[in-house]
Amino acid sequence: MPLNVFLAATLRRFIPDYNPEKGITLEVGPGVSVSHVADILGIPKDEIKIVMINGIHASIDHILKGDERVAFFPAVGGG
Amino acid sequence: MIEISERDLLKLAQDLKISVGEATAIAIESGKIPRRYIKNLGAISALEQASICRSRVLVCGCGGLGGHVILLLARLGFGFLRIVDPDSFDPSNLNRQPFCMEDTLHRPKAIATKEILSHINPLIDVETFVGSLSPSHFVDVHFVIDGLDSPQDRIMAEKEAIKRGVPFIHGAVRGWWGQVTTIMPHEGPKLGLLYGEINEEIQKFEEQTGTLVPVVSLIASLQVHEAMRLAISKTPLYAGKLLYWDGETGTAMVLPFDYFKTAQY
Repeated sequence: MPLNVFLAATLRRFIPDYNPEKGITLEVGPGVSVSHVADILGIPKDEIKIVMINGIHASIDHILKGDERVAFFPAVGGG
Repeated sequence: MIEISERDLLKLAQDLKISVGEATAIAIESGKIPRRYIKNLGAISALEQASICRSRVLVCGCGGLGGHVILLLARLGFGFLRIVDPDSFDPSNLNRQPFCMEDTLHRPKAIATKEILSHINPLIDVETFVGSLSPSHFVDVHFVIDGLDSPQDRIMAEKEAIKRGVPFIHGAVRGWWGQVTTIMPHEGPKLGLLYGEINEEIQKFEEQTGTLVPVVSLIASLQVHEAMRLAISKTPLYAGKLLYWDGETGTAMVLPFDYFKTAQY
């Protein structure tokens, strides 16, 4: 099972043709950090305000096994 | 419960020299309810309706979020609304702002809104300020509701609410997405943890993503839902949590906002 990465809201602009239903599938070995996954995808870490792994919040320094469901959230600011 | 007319309630307020919200609350407590609130009962008790009638709310902004928030607060019967907005209605507001109409265009939002509210619910008091939000607007209210449109203004409003010891019900929208959280004055995480450094590039991008009325109205509804719970002393639903709405997948997620207290970045 590869890594499945989901992006919320304005973070989707970094991935052209992002599919919000399927997210992004990524082959990474065990031992890779969430932060590294953000780097691979070209998402600035200062825009990631919340990280969820398999539905549970986690630190951006969390080390992955490589088969998780990772979600990145920014903050929304309009009104 | 027996019914009481709105005319009698307005007269009671005048005779006792009290606000119409207070007069309505007193009437309800003595077993008399105006017909307009009958359909609230069951979901809430008569005494809870009286608490709502006594509640005083500051709504910061009278645009998309603020407008929908005000509309729902007035329907529920929140007895006092203070509305602050520096702007006038522009044709570009017609897509989403409930009080922006052909005949309110180019008029100050706060004033036009107050006039329309008098046709929706005469049993509430509405105070308006055309101008920027200032610390004096936070005096003598039970809650503050966020209808602002920038992180900077929100953090300022949050600080003033905390200073006054009242909850700040935050909502924000952009494009297909929205978020809600309730900042409690004495505990829990604050908005600075969420927004962090204000990034102007993100703000510029956000402005290009537009604002859709279904998302605005949904987020405003959740903010009023929370205000209603607080008014009747029920536990807030979004204190320490961030409700995140993704209109692209139809998913609402409730995220652990308090995690930021220990975030490493």
